[in-house]
Amino acid sequence: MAPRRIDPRSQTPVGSFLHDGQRVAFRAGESLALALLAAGRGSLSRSPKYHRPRGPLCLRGACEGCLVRVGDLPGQLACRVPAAEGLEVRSQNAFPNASLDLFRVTDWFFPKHLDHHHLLVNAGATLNRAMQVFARRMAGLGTLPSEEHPFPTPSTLSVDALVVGAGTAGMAVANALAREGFQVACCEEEPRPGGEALDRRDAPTLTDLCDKVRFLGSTSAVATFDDGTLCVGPEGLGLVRARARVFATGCVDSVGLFPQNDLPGVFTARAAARMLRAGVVPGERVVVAGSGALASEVAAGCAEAGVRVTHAEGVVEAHGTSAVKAATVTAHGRAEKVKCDALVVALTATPAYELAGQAGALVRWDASARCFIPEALADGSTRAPGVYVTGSVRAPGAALQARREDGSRVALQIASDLRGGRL
Amino acid sequence: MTSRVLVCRCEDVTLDEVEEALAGGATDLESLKRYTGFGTGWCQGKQCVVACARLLEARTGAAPPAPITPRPPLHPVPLGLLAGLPDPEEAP
Ligand code: FES
Repeated sequence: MAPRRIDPRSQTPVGSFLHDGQRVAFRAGESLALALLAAGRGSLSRSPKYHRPRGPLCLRGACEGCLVRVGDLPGQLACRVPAAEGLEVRSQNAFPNASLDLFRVTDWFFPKHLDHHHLLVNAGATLNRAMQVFARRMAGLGTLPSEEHPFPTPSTLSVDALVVGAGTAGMAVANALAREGFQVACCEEEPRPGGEALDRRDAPTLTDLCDKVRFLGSTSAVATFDDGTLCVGPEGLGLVRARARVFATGCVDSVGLFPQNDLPGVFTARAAARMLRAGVVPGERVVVAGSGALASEVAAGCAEAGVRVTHAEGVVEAHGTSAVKAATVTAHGRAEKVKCDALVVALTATPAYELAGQAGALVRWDASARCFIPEALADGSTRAPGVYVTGSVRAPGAALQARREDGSRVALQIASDLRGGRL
Repeated sequence: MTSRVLVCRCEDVTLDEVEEALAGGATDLESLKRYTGFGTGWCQGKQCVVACARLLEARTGAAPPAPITPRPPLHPVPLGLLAGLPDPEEAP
């Protein structure tokens, strides 16, 4: 079994797209990945070297599990592309398709691992050349578009402040600055603002994003420079120039290092919570490993939907060949093998520091959290002028309330820097 | 399917490979990256950089002070989109 809609009649489909020739219906506001999962299509591509099956893991743009070809563009993250009528979506790097891929034999040929240093370097010139051709064929980066595309001219936007991420902290900063009369744009990868709070029923009531904030939904900030931030959204590429750049990019989750941790059916707690919010259960028998607000949210949501849930402290190993069939987990100090079709892992989240780092903030190892955190003063300012961080990207694991307060505090500093002509 | 622990999913880098590289002397994040290729795929290390830093810390007792340089773009972007940008050299 695979993920499915809890009540297929509760929301009516608003359209459909094709995946490998099969029609997939979607509901309003869904990404391609979510609609595919809900249709039980959890295997989307194959990994580059061993051709192991890959499926969505994080639903937040932080893995490679959901890469697909959309129209004739390869390498699109299905969890970041809003589903739309008539799209043609195809699995990539698999022959004939992602569920049945003949190149999978590579996984069995190289049981230890495929050591490219020895294969490519120590093999002698002719064999080396042959191996390179072979490796290029096998390595999965999709196929280039068949037609030439025009180069669209990017749109430009100039604001006082650009907030990247409309989670709890990002919304707090954006709202406070907009109410002070500054021009604020806020870009967010999801179609709606809210971030993690949307996935949690225990979240303090959301205040909406102030309507003076220019909200750029389904839009990813992909690169940031002193003279502008590149944002890719439904309208293509936009160049946003801002005197102040605020990174409220939150955290990403990992699933930990255990055998078969890459099987489709393994999800982060955030991904599973997001599926449940959309009325989709991750499986019929779900193991939730780990703890925290999102883990409880997932366990409660699955139980409500009548899905059998097993709680575990940690994961020893996942089992299965093309998807999760069982998991060996620890509970009450004992290891036990449990049958399941979804393994939800809730580990501590680590900061999405990349954009803050690109903007010039110093990113350093934090010995107690054991992850990289962008360095900032209490007021959110970093060593780079006009670059601020707020929320869980600088305080992983902080409660939602604390993130909101942090956003408000950082907004005060930005307002004073903008007024003082320092930016 | 062969049982593997994937450290970097994008580039199919296994725990085995990382441990072999560490044993072979790649004991800083940058050398480890260059030897195994972790963090050089689609996601540019959003999950595996921390995983490797933790392995390195466990192995050598010292964590890397900083991550590998996070380079743009954050997500895969069609080159055609970037080609439409004004040339910074020519910009007024
Ligand atoms: S990047 Fe889409 S599921 Fe992880």
